Amino acid sequence: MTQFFLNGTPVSSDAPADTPLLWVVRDEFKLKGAKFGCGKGLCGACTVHIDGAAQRSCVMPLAAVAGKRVTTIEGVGSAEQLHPVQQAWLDESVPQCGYCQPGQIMSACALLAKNPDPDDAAIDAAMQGNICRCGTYPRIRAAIKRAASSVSKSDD
Amino acid sequence: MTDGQPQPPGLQRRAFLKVSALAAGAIVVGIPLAGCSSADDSWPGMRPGTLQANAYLQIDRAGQITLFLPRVDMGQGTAMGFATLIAEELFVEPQALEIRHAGVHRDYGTVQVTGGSASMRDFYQPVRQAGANTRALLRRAAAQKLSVAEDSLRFADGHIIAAAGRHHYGEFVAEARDLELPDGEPLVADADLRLIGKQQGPRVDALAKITGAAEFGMDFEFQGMKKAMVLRCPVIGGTVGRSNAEAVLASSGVDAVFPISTGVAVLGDSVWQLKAALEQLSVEWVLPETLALQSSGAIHRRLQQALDEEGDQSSIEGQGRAALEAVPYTLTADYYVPYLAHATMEPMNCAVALRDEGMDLWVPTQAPGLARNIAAYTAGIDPESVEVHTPWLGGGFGRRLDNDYVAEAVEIARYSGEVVHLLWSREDDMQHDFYRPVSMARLQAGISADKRLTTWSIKRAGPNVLAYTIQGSLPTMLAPYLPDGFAHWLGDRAHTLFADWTVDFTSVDGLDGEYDITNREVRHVTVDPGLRLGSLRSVGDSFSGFFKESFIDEIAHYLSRDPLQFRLEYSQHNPRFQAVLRRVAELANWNGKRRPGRYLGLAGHFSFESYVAEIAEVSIDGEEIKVHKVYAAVDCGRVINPDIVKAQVESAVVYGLSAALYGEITLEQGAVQQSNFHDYPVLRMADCPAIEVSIIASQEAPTGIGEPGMPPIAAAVGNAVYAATGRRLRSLPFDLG
Repeated sequence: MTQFFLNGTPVSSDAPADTPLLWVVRDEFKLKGAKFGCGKGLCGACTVHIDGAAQRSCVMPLAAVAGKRVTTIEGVGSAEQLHPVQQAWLDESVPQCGYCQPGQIMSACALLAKNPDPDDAAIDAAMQGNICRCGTYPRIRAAIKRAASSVSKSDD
Repeated sequence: MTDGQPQPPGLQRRAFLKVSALAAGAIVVGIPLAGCSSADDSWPGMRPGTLQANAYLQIDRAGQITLFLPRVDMGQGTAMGFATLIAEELFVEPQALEIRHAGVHRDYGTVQVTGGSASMRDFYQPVRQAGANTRALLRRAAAQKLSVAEDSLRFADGHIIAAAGRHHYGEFVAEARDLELPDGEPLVADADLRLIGKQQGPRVDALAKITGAAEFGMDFEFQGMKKAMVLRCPVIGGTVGRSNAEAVLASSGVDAVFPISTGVAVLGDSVWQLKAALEQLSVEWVLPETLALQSSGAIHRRLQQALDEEGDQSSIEGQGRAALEAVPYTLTADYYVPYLAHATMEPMNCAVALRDEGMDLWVPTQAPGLARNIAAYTAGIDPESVEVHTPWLGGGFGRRLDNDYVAEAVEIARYSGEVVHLLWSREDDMQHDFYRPVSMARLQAGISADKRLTTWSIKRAGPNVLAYTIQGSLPTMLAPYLPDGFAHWLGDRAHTLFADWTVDFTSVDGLDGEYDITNREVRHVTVDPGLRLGSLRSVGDSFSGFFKESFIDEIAHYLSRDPLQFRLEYSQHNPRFQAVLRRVAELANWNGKRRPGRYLGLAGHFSFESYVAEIAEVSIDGEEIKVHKVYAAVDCGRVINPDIVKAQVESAVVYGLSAALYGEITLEQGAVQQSNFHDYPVLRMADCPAIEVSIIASQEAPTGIGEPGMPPIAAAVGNAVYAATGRRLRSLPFDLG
């Protein structure tokens, strides 16, 4: 059994230790925001935070998160109470198909938590692991810059 | 997007099985198609007690308006687009509408397919009219109930305003249900438009998509549902000979392992367990004869040879290519593009629940009508007994026009008797796509003694998309009318017939070009290696734009002419094309000074009834092409949502840049060699240029916008590379090595 914190709540899973965190979160805890895109940590659609750092949950074995804090898009904000990054996404009208956007937002939140005022190079580096086939990159960049002013350093 | 009535969250995902049992109070309104009697028709999603006078609009007694999208939203913005039209005519905000993908019904078109950048082109008028007619119906009902004159009522903020007070639309649902739907109600006058063509609030789908709440096919969940995955033959079309299915069933702990038409299916509760079982499987495949012999090097050589063949004439103007004999100067160049995969972010998937009679499908598809027919054909049942539910689509780009995954899911559900959700891996998706065809073209220009371009001759060689589309869809369309087996046989024959019979327009679209050239000819040589094909964003224009606009640039340079001025000089009959060229040149400051090391390349293309011109600003670092900025000008007729038009051009530019810089599917003995994003790279953040889009104001009818931004971009980059290096790159993906 593996115990960890999921969006602030202590949880435990009986899934085999090598099961990728993505499937545990999606199929056992029914949080569908983190997406399956490639299964190899190449596209970033599955990005979650583990102890505040953006990680690809499709290649993260369940055992590796024992005792850690896992945050998914569902733990970041809600329609009623958007995270400033989500608000910036709305203001810049970022999403098209939307499938990659939870992962994009998780990477952006992790970036801004560490670096409240990222330059283009920092944005490139932090977002390089997240693919968007609809081509929303220019709007993602604009949204990160818009959010930068309103996200505090302590935010996770 | 929900299906059925609003329900407690825990129940919502189960709603799809209970559609027929729904009961509530709402008006339903659709396209008044000629020959259809709408009033007594039963559209999917109709709810008792609601007002639904057409196929698109339903109003319940609480005043909630539900919009049934006649075309799916795969990111291109149909939800916001159609919501804007309805909101304009009903005096509400687009965000106030509940949006659902329509089920399958003839009132959404006989071929209910989202493609060809046609959604707004086809539905702008009927959807707006449906909104206006519904408004007239509500006004009539309100006048009756309130005992006032119709012309004493006005509409504002989602209410009917009478002298005595404000009323929400739901108050008149009961009365409206008994009235006949008025037709031809005047649309909101241009001068009074609040929404259409204006800057609007957030896209109607944005909030759900940024909170993780939007439900995609992959997210489908039903209690007791089994997950399924399939090991498929590495060569598409191969079938299962022998396998160790029984041994794997015993050792892996999954629920079932069994052969289906395309491979061996595994069924169980956990994706991880299924993946492990797939890895234990070993299968002897029966390979498809033709395709198994094909490898990319040989295909390239075969296409090159084919360019020396006569081929078939597709179009001719003036004396055609014969005029090349009579001119003093000719220019010839051969161009090449590879097979491409769509690589939507969401891999293919489909859920199936069998009923006593018929079934429900939960499937992200661009073609719910075809999905229904394929499911019915596979199961041997009446298409009318299949109900299709479409969630949000995680990208489409043409891949989801082909519904092979639906047939697989139905086979698995029938074999196992379970409610089944078939999931494809990324590898499945990349190696079992319907690909953009590999293509070559020989372009020839004839130049007169006074340095005029007088002849334009193009020969394209390659396989044809439509032959595969017909092969795949014909049996499912005809099956109810034909004896068993005959429909399938006919589909195979149709492939051959079609290939021999005529030049597929998707193979030559756009090659004839926008330019005033006296003698023109387009010819075609079919060479089909046997890898299945499909429509990929902008289809034939995805390569013809590259061929034509690179070559016109070659001719301009050959004649020492400015590429912009040269295009303008040869497009004087085409003012809308000239306008986008001029606008983009202005935007990019074509004639101005630039930072050292930066170079511009221009291209323009007409496709899906829209005009787009693009300029790429690039620099070269060793063998690396860096695209810093892309400027685009677009004329797509009347614009409904300016921000969505811009977003679609940005999207098409990025999609086209992936193809120009990285995209290539290769074959080795018939097997696709690429499998995931490590060997099929796509554009990422650091390589994405800034993109600036300018829209030409227009009162013409709306035309396509999802695709037309893609055809010019590869040529714009290639032409910029030429400006920078003097090297002409004639193959995609570009390689300066």
